[in-house]
Amino acid sequence: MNDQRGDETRPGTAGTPMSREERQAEALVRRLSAPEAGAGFRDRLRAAFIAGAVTPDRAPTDPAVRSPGGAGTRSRRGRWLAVAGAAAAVLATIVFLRPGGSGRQDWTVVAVTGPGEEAIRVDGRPVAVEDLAAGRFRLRGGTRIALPESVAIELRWAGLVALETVAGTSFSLPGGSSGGADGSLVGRIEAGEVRFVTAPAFSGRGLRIDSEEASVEVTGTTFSVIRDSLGTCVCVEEGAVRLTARDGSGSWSVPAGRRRQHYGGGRPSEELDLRPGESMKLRMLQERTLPQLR
Amino acid sequence: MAAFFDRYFDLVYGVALRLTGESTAAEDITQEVFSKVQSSAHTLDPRLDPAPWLVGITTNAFRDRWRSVADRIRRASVSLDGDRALHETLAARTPTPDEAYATRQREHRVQHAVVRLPADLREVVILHAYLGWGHDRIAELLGASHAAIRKRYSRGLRALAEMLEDLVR
Repeated sequence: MNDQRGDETRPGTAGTPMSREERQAEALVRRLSAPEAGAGFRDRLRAAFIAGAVTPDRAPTDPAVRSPGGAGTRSRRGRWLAVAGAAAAVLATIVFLRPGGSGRQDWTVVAVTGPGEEAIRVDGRPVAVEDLAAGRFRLRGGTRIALPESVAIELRWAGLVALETVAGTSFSLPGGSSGGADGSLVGRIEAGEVRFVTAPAFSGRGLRIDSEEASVEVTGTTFSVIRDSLGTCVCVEEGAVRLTARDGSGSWSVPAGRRRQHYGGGRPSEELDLRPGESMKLRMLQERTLPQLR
Repeated sequence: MAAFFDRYFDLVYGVALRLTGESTAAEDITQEVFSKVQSSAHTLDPRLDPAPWLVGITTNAFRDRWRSVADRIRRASVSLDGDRALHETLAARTPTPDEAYATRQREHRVQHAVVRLPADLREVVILHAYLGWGHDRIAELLGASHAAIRKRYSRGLRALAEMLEDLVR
């Protein structure tokens, strides 16, 4: 599109020049990058558009939200996705294998931090922070949670796993891949950062994290997974993690005190020292939560 | 249809994301826009650039959402969706993770400030500063006078400058 800003850099009333601060603010907005939609969404919409099967998706006007896993909570988006039927691009999948608790167990909210006026998206619907913090919603495995930029959350599962996010993270809670009957849990992370601490009783159990770029397997540890514009990064405070590129380009063991940054687009993966700040956050989570886990 | 989608998807999604600040809402709006395109395809004049029309639909969809009860309770929020928005810029220069982090933080702050603008100021700021549209074109799209658009833009920039005080010094 043609840039038509050149002759209009003085936006105020006639003859009123922009202040230096306003120019700087304008420059900051101009420098905002072109957003990139999730590949899964783009592909599904493209397929539906070509097939003439796109349906409008409007936000619900009723803010009331029922249990995320309950009947009637499926959004129009969800219905459309079902119609489109295209294979979803799983940005990241978290799989807990053979947990001590049933895969059907819900997650428990331990803490929600952030301004009360900011809403959390639960399965695509807005939920008030205070409602989530009060435990008014059942958080089953597979529930999609999108946190606003100023809101972080901490959760527990079956006394075996503590989960903490940074503000703004979008992820799905680990849950049973087949209703939990087989003991496995499946979750997803789209963007942001999730830190995990597993209890001693979790030792020896499998935990696998798949992202668009990589697959991560652990056996009871303290670690975090970050998914950002660069790709997927796993930070290991304790234990060991195996990261496997989903494109088959390699598989690496990541020891305690190290992190592995796996990039998309063919850029070689690299192992780096764990950032002190991340190590400190993981240790704090571990110290705070481990006494409460089995 | 495929060529049309490939050519204009990024435009629609980009404007939607910058207006809403979150990918879920941007996806909803994008889907709505392409649904309307689908139902109106037979009325499109192939000699005309459809971009202004698409941006108009996108902006209207944003306004509808802004007015909705559901969105009012969360309109102050933004998400980390900006992460994905950085992808193209970052990929072009293959920055280090630390550089990417710094850039991401700045983008988050700017996007966060943008979505805190009142809707009428926000859409002018995004259409002019981000999309590069002239004030006349924006005035036509939004059904306002040129002077009103310039005032809104000025007010939007002043508000942004106040929210991003340390970045604009």
